[in-house]
Amino acid sequence: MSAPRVALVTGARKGIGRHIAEHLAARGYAVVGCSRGAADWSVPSYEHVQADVGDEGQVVRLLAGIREKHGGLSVLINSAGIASMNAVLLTPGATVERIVRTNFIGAVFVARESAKLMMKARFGRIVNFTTVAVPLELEGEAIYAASKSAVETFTRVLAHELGPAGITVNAVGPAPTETDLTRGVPRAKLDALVDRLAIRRYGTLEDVANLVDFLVRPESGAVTGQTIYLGGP
Amino acid sequence: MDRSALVSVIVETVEDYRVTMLGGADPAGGSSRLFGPSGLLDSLGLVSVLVEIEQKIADRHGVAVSLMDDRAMSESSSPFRTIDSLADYVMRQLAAGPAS
Repeated sequence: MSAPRVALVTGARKGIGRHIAEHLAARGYAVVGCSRGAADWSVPSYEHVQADVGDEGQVVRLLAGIREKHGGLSVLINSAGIASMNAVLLTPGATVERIVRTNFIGAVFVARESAKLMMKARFGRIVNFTTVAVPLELEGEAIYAASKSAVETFTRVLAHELGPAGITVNAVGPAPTETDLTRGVPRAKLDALVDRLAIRRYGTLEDVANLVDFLVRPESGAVTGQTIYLGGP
Repeated sequence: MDRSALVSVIVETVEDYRVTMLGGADPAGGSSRLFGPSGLLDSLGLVSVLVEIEQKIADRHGVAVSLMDDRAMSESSSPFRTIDSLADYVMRQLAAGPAS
């Protein structure tokens, strides 16, 4: 059974998620994007669904809708994420829960339901998102980085569970990229971070799309359980 | 959905998996163990079959049932250890209402 060229991109309203959604649509995928809010953009072969990845019921309904409309799923770009730069001692509990809920628990819900759709075709590509804040151990990013550490471990273990079903699972850690997610971080902090990378420039959306292209292509079936950071932290 | 129809769906799904992935299928009955040392399925098979059954019930009967349970991989207390115990579990889930 051949896999349909259908991709789901979470966090597709803006930033990296939007760019990857547009990129995959331009490459011939039927793309379903989701975010909590409505999207203010559209391209052919793209459909936006409002769904909160941290809400299990909404995720189940999102994937049931994809199965009904497209009959399967071949690519998941698990890019929904939120950040909050703050000292640990000044971070409210509700913020900790919100970050972990979206970045980790949401990624788990979407990967689980997506893999169910991929299993029948014995083909799937799951791309999770992490951050260079994990290896760089950035002050002020403890909760955000810890939530992404969980995503990295989840990626490695899930790769083992889904490998026999022809599904690969990898994680991409973009270099600091100018999106809404980094807008709240002082410029001097970002510049200092870029100075610690092997490639001393800000990341671009094209850098991420290039890596996603590599990971989702059928020839990358042996590439799994990997975390790939851009920029060389 | 009555229990005998459900058992038929389970048996059909298990046998399809065994034919497709394992190259053969011995007839499965209600007391057949689904996984473990003398089970019909490997661990991928158990997951595949449960996902397939969820989808068949949704497609054929328009009912959302969730086959996720913390005891899933327990050889002694898993609700999925035999075809009969899986059928009982699904019937309880259906009686409890939609999964989402």
